[in-house]
Amino acid sequence: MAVISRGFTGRGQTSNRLPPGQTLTTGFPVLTAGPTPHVSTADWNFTLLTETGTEHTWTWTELRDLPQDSPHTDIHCVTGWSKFDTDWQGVSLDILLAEVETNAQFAQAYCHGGYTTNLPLADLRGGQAWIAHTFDGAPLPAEHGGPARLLVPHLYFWKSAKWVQGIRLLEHDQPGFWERAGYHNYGDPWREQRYWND
Amino acid sequence: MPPIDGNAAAGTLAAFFGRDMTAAHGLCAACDQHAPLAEALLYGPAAGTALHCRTCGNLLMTMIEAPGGIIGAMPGLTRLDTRPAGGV
Ligand SMILES: [Zn+2]
Repeated sequence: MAVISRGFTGRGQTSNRLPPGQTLTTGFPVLTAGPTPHVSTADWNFTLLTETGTEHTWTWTELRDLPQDSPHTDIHCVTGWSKFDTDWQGVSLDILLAEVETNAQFAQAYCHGGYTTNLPLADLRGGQAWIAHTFDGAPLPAEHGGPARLLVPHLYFWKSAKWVQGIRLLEHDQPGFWERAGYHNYGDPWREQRYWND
Repeated sequence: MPPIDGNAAAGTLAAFFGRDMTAAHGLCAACDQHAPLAEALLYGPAAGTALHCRTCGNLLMTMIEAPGGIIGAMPGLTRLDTRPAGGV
């Protein structure tokens, strides 16, 4: 277990914002473990599937008609880079989850191309997670997960699933693609939870 | 980004198995394709190495390079054979 060290290290302000073991980058590296799906917004939709089998689906137009948020946030990739002050636009999961009735404790995002990632449902609530469609004022490019990706910036960025298609709400936790393969099940950058037994 | 082939994973495979594995033949759990790992498809860069079946796209194998070692998984291989020509 990594020691929790969040706060002052005496090396100035960057250190307070840079989780342990991370290096600051100004670029935006593209990481993908599979082929890049190209999904048109006309065909795009997003589904919340509850533990009782109830589905709620939004089309692209319906998503864009919901209240929009503009999160400004730092992001942290498990491979070691962090990027400060990224600007996004999207819909808060709070708004989407308000439309469904659930007692689920866990969530698994599933994506075009077959990628999955899991997290506690609580981490999708409370203004911590979005379905993001815009980056730096422009439509999110396919290589960064467009038309839309999950954005959960308080966890390592593999949890911010690209090409998100829906989220299953689950009574029992179901590890996703990298979580099964050996990355950490939760992935808190501040506790440096990189690998499964960190 | 277009995929590259499994030869690009030769170093990671060798570090994990302690020998050259590019000629080892694997049997895809999804489509029964029998092929050397060198012919698998590899996308990236990624948080780890993910080898996919060239025939059906099934995820054959992942390797995550961590300090001190490699975490491997073979969710899509029902067989992996290092004999010359994979025992054929
Ligand atoms: Zn196959």
